[in-house]
Amino acid sequence: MKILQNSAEPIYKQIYAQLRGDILSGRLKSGEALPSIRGLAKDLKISVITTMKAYEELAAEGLVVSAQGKGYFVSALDPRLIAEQHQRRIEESLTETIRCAKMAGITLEEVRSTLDALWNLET
Amino acid sequence: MKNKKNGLTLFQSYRLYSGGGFLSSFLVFAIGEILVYLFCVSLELGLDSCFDGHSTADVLHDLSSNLSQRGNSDPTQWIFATTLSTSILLQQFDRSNPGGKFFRTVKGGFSTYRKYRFVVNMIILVSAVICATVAFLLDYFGIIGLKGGIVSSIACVTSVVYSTSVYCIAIRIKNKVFSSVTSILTVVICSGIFGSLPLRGTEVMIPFIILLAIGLVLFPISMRSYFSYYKRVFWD
Amino acid sequence: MNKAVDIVGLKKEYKDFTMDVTATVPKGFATALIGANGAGKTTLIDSLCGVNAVSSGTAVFFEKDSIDNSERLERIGYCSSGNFFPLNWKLKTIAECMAIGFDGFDRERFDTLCTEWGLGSSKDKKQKSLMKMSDGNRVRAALAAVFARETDLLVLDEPASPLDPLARDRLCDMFRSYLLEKDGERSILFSTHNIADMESVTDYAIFMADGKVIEQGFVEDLKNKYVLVHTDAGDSEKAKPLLLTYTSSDTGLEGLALSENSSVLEAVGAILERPTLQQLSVGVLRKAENNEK
Repeated sequence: MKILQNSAEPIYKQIYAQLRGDILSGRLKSGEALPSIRGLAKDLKISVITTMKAYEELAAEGLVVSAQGKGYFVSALDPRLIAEQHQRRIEESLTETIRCAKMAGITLEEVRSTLDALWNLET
Repeated sequence: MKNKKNGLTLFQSYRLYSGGGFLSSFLVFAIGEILVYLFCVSLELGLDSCFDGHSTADVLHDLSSNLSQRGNSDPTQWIFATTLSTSILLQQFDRSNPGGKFFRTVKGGFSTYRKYRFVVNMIILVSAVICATVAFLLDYFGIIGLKGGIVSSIACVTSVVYSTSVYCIAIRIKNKVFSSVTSILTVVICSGIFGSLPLRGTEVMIPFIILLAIGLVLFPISMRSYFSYYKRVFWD
Repeated sequence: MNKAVDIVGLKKEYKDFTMDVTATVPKGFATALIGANGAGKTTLIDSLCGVNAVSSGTAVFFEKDSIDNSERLERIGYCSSGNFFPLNWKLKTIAECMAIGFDGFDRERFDTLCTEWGLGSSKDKKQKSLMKMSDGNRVRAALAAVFARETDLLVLDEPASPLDPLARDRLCDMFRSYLLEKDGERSILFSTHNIADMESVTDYAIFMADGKVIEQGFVEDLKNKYVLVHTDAGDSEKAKPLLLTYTSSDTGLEGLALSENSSVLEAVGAILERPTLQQLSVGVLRKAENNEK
């Protein structure tokens, strides 16, 4: 895991994002144990509360479960849950896109054509 | 070793505070005081001879013949030097001094401090008794004369006992400067009083023993009062 | 939240200063006590560890309603600021006296730490007395002694102050290892007036000013509660009423506000940022100072 100490993005969000990516892509399998919050804090040289908050956010979304006294484990993932996660991500990106467009005065049509162009590029 | 759960032993408490062993401290005091006695004796005698401008051989000869007749000299000097040993009680463990906070958080807390202080007082007292006894025995067997004989020995111990008790009371003086000055003055005053009394001859022996007895009764009382005051004002 | 220490109305009265603290030290985390000199940090720490007697109030340790004094002394690893041990002591003396004074002292661990930190060992033939060591080394020796004990709570008064940046970084690592060793069972409380260097290990912060606690909370929560505000000179006046505290210059304003006012602040042209603990501390302490005036 790589985190940037001096980035504007809070460290817990970076950890959350990377672990989320690992879980949704299957790199971390269901039932697999996550590193302990204090162990991870030590490895990354950050505070315990930061790793704990990252894990708590993952747990809130149902991606991990915490077992009392044993730590956090990747939850058995439901395909619907994964789809939901991806959908949410898309909505977040689009909201951000819309905000930027409005600030810059770009129209909906212009955004749509940019989307089309980029979509074709990606495939 | 006493069960650790019950607190530290006297010797452990002493070692903790002083950073060194009880036995070595005790020997230093006891032997040191005897050496001080011998030094006081030889100082007087040596000086006597030197002032007359004699050769070394003559000085040594005078020394050995004068030793057993020392009976004319003043024991005050020696009693003063011995009583000076009580000045070790001046050592304070205020919170602001290095170590002050450490000692307050160590096993036993204040009761460990009490045990340490008790051992210190015993070392001072017992060393004085040993030294006084040695001085008396040297006189009794005619090796080195002691003016006042056994009375001087008793005077020495009495001076130490009273000096320690006064120290215990002197800390109650609010002004730190006055408190330290008073503590040092007690050495002078005690040794002055008790050191000069033997010069009046052997009829003071009984009163002296009474004085010593009173001192020995006052001693634990003043120590108890010292501890309760110290805990209330300095420790907490 | 499990609490290592639950402090309720702990009061200590002096002639011209009163400490009155209600705060929590959460279990399993490192808590920083932040405040200016004279804010009462040392008074609080000393009161918790039996160095000072308190006038009133309670401090519940390890969630035990009543704790034996000897148990408290044994389970808490206390280290004062400045000179913790008498200056004529050597490493050997420290090791011997610590072994007498505490059941859980491990001399081997003490020697390992001292050697690691460049102080030598308590078994060396020739040893320097503490008086001859630098301030930094004296503190290292004291910290080595505390870390070599078996404890459940470390209470350290300004442990980082005389240390250089590398030593501070190592200290942070030691804190993390300490917390990891008994995963979740151990806690740390330390005071600092230089939070920047200890920020990466701080989980919970308690801010003190004039003997009272003015703010406390988990660092991540505090960083969400407050927001750092930047405005241009032109927008300053509109932003000021919403700011808890600010500094202004020719180019504009920088200040701290509650993040619940974020949308309003953005509407008046301010740029918002998540504060670092250092920036948060500056804001919180400055506000307390202003309140006093």
